[in-house]
Amino acid sequence: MKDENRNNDSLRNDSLNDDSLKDKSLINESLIGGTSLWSSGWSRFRRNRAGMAGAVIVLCLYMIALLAPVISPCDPVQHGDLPAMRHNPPSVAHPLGTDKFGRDVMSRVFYGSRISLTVSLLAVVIAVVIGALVGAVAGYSGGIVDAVIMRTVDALMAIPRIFLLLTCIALFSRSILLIIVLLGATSWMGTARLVRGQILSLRNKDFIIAAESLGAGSRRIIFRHLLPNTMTVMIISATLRIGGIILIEAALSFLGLGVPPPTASWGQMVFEGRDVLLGAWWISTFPGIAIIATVIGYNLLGEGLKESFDPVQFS
Amino acid sequence: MENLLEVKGLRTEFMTEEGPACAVDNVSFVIGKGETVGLVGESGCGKSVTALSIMRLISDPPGRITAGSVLLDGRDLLALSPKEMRGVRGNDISIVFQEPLSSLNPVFTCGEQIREAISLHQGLGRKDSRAKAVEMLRLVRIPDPEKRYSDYPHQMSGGMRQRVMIAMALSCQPRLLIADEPSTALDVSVQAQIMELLLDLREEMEMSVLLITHDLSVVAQMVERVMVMYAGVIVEDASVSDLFSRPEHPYTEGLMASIPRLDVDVERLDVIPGRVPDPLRMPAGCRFSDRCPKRIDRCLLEEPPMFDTGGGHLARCWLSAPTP
Amino acid sequence: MVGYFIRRFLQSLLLIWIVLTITFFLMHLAPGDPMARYDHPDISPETVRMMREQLGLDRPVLEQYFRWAGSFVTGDFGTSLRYNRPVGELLKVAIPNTLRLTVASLFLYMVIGIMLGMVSAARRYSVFDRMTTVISLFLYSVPSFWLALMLILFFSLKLGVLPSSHIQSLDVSGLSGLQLFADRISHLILPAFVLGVASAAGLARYMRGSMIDVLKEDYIRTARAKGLPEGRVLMKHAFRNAAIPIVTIMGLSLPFLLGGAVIVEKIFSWPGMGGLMVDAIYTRDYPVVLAINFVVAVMVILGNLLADTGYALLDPRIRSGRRGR
Repeated sequence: MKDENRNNDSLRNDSLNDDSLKDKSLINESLIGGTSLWSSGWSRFRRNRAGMAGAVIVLCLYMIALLAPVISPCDPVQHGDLPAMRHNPPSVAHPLGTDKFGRDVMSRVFYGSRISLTVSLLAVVIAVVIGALVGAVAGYSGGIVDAVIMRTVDALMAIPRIFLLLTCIALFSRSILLIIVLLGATSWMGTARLVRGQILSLRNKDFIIAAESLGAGSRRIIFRHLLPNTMTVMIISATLRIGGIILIEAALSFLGLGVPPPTASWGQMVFEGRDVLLGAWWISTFPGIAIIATVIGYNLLGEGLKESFDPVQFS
Repeated sequence: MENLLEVKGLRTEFMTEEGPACAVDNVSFVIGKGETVGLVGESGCGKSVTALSIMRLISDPPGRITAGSVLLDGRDLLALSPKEMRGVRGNDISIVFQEPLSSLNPVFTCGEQIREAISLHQGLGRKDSRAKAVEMLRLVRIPDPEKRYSDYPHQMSGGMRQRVMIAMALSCQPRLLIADEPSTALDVSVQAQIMELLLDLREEMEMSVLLITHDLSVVAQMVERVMVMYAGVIVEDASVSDLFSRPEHPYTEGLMASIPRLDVDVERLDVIPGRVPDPLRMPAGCRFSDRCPKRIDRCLLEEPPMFDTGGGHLARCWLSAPTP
Repeated sequence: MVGYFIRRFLQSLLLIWIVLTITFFLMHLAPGDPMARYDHPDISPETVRMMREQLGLDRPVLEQYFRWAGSFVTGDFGTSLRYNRPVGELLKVAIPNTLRLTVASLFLYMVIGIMLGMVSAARRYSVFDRMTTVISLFLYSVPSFWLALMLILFFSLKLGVLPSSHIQSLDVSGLSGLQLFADRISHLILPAFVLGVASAAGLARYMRGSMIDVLKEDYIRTARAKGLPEGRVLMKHAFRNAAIPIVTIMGLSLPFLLGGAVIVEKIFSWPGMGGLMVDAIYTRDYPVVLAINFVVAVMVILGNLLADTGYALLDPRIRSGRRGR
């Protein structure tokens, strides 16, 4: 019996140790946030080959998006001479072929990167902002507010994201802004959970208690003290989320429910090649490869950042 | 006394980022049939690696046995095929680990984990092996063994779990039992019970025991012969009475001085100053030279061999060298 | 154990209720009168009035909510605006088809994910392990619609070995039972592969990590010290422990499978809920959209409940009501 008690104690000790471990990493990563810790993270990241590869891919994609007018051989929207230009296979003039309106697929893929990159970046910012606010409020308030918020988050996560998105799209009229907002508004739940967990572990830290005892209001505590300390985690989780957002944006476009035409978006281009797969495989294939490259780039980058800056939090 | 186990020139290395580190170096010893031998040293000195090397349980990578032989009844275990070696593990040689909490699989009942070993090595059916497992639980004095058979490890106390580990190790009547700090993780009161149990079972089953511990006082009551290990090498090998009456190696003296003694009034415990050397940066001469209070010049230059100081009392120290 | 199950069951009911409420708000979230969207020359004002009455939109919001929730819970999802048939009837056809697809995918997902993960963990850093890592990263990043098109291009259009759409051949009247079965399986292969294998990549990574963690445990050393063959150590001692967290992962992957079904069903013209959903979005068939949202959420929640039960069955520490380490 005595022995039994001892075991329970040791169990409790273990969990205490776990907590303190987590806390320690938090202090390491964010509370002090000193230059040495940041630079040690960067030097670790520079040695992370996969992460660096991801960074290079993402950087290249942004260059392509930025320089699309310069490097594109043709106008992405202008129709070519029909029918001579229709469904031309890859050639020197059109390295990735042409589509059914005689448009140059390579130029369209270049311009399409603008849609994918902007939409996903803005959407992830929206998602992280909503998620951080919701998570911080839930974690800081605790009690019934926390319970209501978190159960709602659970319920929202039970509806697959694409269903939620499609429903919202059906409710409103379509525009690029709406797509961005909706993608953001349906992707914040994971971040909210993450931030809430962080806030809970920060809540009882001495400096928060000190701020409270000095009479700081809860808004000030959340914005000045709690949220800044979860930045590292938020940036990493945002990077890891972008890939998913790009995929779902492409899926929406493929279904004809994404960014409205004539703007070139990769998902829509895959769709346009669908009916002529056998005869003109290049129309669907190359935009798809562009999507894969982008998502792989972001995933590698996110994993690299995670391993370099925050190996414990995400385990 | 006939030899059961003969270890010769055993060397085990671990790959590290900075190159191979030698955890066990040129270790040789024998264990006689029915003999109980203690292997003593600080944590990290290579005791457990020696035990795992004998069982060939060193995980590769990063570890590897690079030299030596381990003869069990004249058969070299290091030369056996993996399949033959599996026939030895748990059957001829068994091991009891230090941590009974983590050494039992949490998702199987204690009884099942014993039964598994029995049916594996003795080819018994489910029913017979179960009966045998219950018998083993009874042997290690677990009350109500029929009922406890179906308990999961988390339903048992630490002492009970260690009894289960012992039952598992002894279930196939091994000829050699390696007990790797079997009581260290337990309560003081339970420690004594476990040691007593091991002592009794050893007599009953007529097996040899290699008892690994960092605690010389445990050794004194349990074993016939003691080997002292330091930084991967055996520095002294003697019968218990010899060792305690005339320790040869300064490290052994230091260990003894650090045992709290009730019969002598001491102001403070003598603890050996300094630290165990980094396996990647071993001193050139004697490995204990940087901490040794009796160091002479030769110790820094040349590693001493094992000297027989008479009556099978071996010591790896230049001070024990026979005067020519 | 019973207490644990009851608690989880009640939590699931609570979640379903919240989903129901969210769905209700979604309907009322849109700006203006929900019925304004049916302001269309093809729909007569009379129909709109009837629909309004049918949906109870002329009553106070709270009353609407309770009436509506009550009818949803009893399986009355209203009438499809497009087909002018009860939504329940449409779902009765669509749900089994979606289940057939998702269950087949789940099977592929589990078998492939777990096997790849286990072999990768057992042969860590081998060529096989590295290959699996690269392929996983690729599959994890590939859009399912693109993968589907490429597979159709190759297996249906180029080789002509597998059908590219529908649940079975158009004319199945002359087929025997066995032939019909084979016909259906052949129609199932491509969509189930696209849906299952892409997700399996993620599971394989989890399984690998879980196995590697477990293989470091002391009890694995104990099992080896007993003289057990390596296969038994892996399949019995390591697998049972590594599978415990994996069961939860499988529950969590249900939304991805069901969500992925939307795209896959659309591409392969599979007559399930996903296809129904997309068509309902095009035609703004609200009752269908909301009903499908609700049904899918319930499926996910029940799936998670099932996963948690499996978790408890696999882990004796939870089964006996005491949480271990």
